[in-house]
Amino acid sequence: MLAWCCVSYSQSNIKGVVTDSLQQPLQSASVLVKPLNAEQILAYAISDKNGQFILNISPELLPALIEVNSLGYSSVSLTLLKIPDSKLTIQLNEKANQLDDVMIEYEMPIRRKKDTIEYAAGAFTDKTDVVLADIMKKMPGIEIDSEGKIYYEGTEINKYYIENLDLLGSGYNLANENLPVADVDKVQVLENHQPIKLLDSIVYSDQAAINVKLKKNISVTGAGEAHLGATPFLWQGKATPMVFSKQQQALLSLQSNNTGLDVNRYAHLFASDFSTSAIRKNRWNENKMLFVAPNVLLPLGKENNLQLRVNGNAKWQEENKATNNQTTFFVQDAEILLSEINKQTEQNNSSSLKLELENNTSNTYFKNFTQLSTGILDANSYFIANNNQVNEEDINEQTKIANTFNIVLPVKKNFVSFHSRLSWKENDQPLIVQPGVFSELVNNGAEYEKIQQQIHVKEKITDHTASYSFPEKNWLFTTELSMNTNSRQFESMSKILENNMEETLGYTFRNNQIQTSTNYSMLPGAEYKNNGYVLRFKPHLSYYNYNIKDRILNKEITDSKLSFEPEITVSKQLNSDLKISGTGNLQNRFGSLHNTTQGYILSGYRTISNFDNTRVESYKTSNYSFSVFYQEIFSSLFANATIRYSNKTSDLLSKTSINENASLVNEYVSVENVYDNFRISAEIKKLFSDLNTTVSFSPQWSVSEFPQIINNELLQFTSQSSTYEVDFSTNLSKYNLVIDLNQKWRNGTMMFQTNKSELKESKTTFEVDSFIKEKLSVGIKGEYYQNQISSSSNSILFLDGEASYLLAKRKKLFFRFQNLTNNRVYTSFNLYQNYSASQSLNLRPSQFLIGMNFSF
Amino acid sequence: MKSFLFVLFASFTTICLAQKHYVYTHTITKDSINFTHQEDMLLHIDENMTTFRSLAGIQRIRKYMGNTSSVYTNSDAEVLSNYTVKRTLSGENLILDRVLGAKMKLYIDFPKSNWNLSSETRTEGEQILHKATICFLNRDWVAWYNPKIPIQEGPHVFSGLPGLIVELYNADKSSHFKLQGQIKDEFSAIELEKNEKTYKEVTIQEFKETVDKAMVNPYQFYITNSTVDTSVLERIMKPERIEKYNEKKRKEFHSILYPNK
Repeated sequence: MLAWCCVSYSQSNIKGVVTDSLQQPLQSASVLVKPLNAEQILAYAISDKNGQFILNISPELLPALIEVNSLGYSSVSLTLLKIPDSKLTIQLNEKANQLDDVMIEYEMPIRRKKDTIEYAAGAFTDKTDVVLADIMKKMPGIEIDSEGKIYYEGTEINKYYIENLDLLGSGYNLANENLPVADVDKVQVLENHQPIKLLDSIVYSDQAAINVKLKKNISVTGAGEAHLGATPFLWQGKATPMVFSKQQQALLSLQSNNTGLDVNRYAHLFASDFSTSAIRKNRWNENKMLFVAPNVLLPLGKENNLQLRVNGNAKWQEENKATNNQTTFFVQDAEILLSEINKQTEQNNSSSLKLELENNTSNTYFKNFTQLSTGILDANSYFIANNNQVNEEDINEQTKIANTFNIVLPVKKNFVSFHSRLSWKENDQPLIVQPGVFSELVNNGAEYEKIQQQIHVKEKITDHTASYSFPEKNWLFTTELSMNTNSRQFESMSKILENNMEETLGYTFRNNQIQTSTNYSMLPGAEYKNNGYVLRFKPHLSYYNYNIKDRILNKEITDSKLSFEPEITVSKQLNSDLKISGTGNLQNRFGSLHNTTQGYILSGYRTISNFDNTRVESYKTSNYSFSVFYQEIFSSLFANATIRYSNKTSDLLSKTSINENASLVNEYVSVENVYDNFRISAEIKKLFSDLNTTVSFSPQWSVSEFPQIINNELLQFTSQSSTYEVDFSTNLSKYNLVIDLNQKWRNGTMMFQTNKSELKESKTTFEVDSFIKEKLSVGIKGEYYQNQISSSSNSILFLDGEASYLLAKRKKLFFRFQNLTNNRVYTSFNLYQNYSASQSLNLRPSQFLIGMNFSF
Repeated sequence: MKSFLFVLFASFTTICLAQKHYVYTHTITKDSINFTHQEDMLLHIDENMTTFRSLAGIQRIRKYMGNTSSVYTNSDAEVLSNYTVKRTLSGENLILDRVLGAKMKLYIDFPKSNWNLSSETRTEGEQILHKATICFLNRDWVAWYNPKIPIQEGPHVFSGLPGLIVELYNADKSSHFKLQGQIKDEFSAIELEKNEKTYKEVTIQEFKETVDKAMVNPYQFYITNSTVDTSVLERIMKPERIEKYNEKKRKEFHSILYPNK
């Protein structure tokens, strides 16, 4: 319609000048003429280098609005009723932020700046992603395992920073799994990260660190959920408020549920029987839990060089599971069958407090880290084993205190480092089995009521290291002296109850040993770094010694050896995309002193150990690996492949005797033996940014050969395993769909003599979320398992449905229906050296939850 | 269509005023020969000069210089826009273009005052875009600009509107520029500028004549005009490959200055 001509003789000129608040002329300001109540632009002018402008405007268009815009200045509007007689002077004031109201950001998903790879969070985020871990697992080059540990190109990261501060230490998964993705701007991978700033670019590190950049300088954030459901009555609540600034940070996590979810990934003082399962734990775990974890990081000192970090956590957890196990032992052409029905309740309470004081600047470094932890694991099991009823209570009570001190001091251009670690641990492990077992060994073959075993362990570890490093051109030479002592007092005794009479068992069921191992090492080292090459050579010279005082037998065994343990690493950056690396090391050491006890030790109702050794295992290992890393940043493609070979020669071999009732006796015998393992693993991951799709493929193949004595027969086992995993995640924004697919295949083979057992597993997980309306989404999640061993096979499909409605910007109403098909039993097969087992796990029934998901 | 991330900031991000970098995707379509090409172009604005050139071209320079940092584009992207537009604050446009090895520089007078403002507006995300039209080198162009970004710049020589040009296309949309967003990066002088001394100054008529000549036999024209060693190329090029080369070069040639070719 209106084609306004700027140059027209019938028009009037409005002259003016645009200045800033200091009356200085402003060039390139836009002077717009608009109707009073519309967005239309009728005419415009641009201010020249003197800030002056001339608007050509027809008087009929008045009154009109004059709007003046300039980048970095607040917009000014004025109403013009008539053509002014004099020159207009328009003053603009500077804006606090230098942008105008609209800013468009354009970013490539991944970029590299020297040793930093930066992932733009937004490029990996779809509508279903809630916390940082959801997007991090899609980033090429980054992997997250089931425990929440982060790996970059196959190696675990050494630090996890949020805005360059390390709030959580090794417990970083708490932040990674609770930090709302909406607050994250970028994820940076700091390659070859040296955490000690004083040694940065001097001492090479082959580990990377993660640094999370947030959108705001000060972020008050966090995620939470409050859900209720049935049946039975269910609750699931979580609140993780967090504050992050560049100086201080805090994170508090409160969690409670009875929906089967555990927090062992955040607090894991004990290894638990409840920790592993092929299927998601909340499908079968009947539980109640409460978890609290406060974490604070504060700057101290005049220049804030000191940082105090406090990480605490406390966990109260009760878990229940019910299983039906069928185990077949292959013993000299015969098979021993064990049928077990098991109901197990586990009470797992623990608390931990970590205090860290650190001064980490480019001039000085020291750190003192103190950890106190205590806890109790009380496992009660009821078995019906081959029609015999057995009750077992296994308790582990532990208290641990450890202190680590590190200091690095510059001496001219050289460095002196001291490292000291002191640790003290005490364990009480009562075990009660009712009725009594192993009656042949314990009670001359007569049945008895109960056996109660008490184990008490005290352990002290001291570890001191002093080192001197001096850089010379492209070389770094280091001399290190270390002294390590591990002293463990192990006591065990057992008593049986028969006809209401308690009897303490004799010395064959008692242990009282002081086990001490000492190691003095001299570790000279040389590191060369230049032109993409890194060469590291550490020819360790160590003196190992152990001493075991047996107070019951009143005997002492001791041995020592001097060993040469070289270690070499070579890596070369071939070009900007390709890097190769190789490592090799040899070790010659003594094994664990724990297996030197002479008295029987019961470790379950059907397993007993009797080591009766006169010496400790002596072993030699050699490990070699070769890796290739490929990064094509611009096309978001990361790939890596590693070949590993390891070999162990030992003079002690484990021996297992399987009795007719399927009870096991474990021993060690003096036989020279060799263990070999060869493993290939690879991963390729690519983001197709045009398609909003991430695809990854990770194959693994390994073969092991090892001997074992079973029922007095020396058997040579060969174990093969191949795993292939494909992951696909796409965001079809055009169709408002988000699809995630994961397919995993695993084939395992165990061979000895002419026996060969084969296990095939396949797991398919999928998730489809559809955003029906802007605020309403529905999704379906599925898991399909296939499991096959010999002629037996099993498959099961789990389906979960969920719907969410966006109530406000950070609040979602949530409805979840779990186990739609009401599966009640999941059966899986497993393959071991000389036995195969099937386990049927009782599952939670169909359940629903309704509630709110929110972020602060 | 390349999809890159758009994040609309409400505010609070501080960007240095001295330099700004905007990225446009230039889509060229020649329906008659079923040809489509997309190329990301960088609009670099600093206090004295505005430059406009191919991002993939900059990426090639970075790779050549051993700089592994990204300029937000695929390193494999084909560079068909071998030109750089340099615009001074006074509005003088200098185009440095290389057509099959022939280096030419042209001073182009862009008629800023000929922009026709339309009352038409449209909303894109949270932006309100205003329409303006202009006739340049006998072709009609439509621009959509955002007055809330008071930068009077745009792709190629197109500038002078009271807001950044977000979209620009000609009547049949055979040439279409779309702003993808602002890019945070630093560009060195060597990446942005070309050595003007090696370019021969020509008029637009001479430019067209050179293009006409080049399109007759692109391979021969390249061999004759290239300043790099072409002996390897000459050894491996057989007649059938030369014909394919010529076809490709004719097909993919485009210039805002010579639209009919």
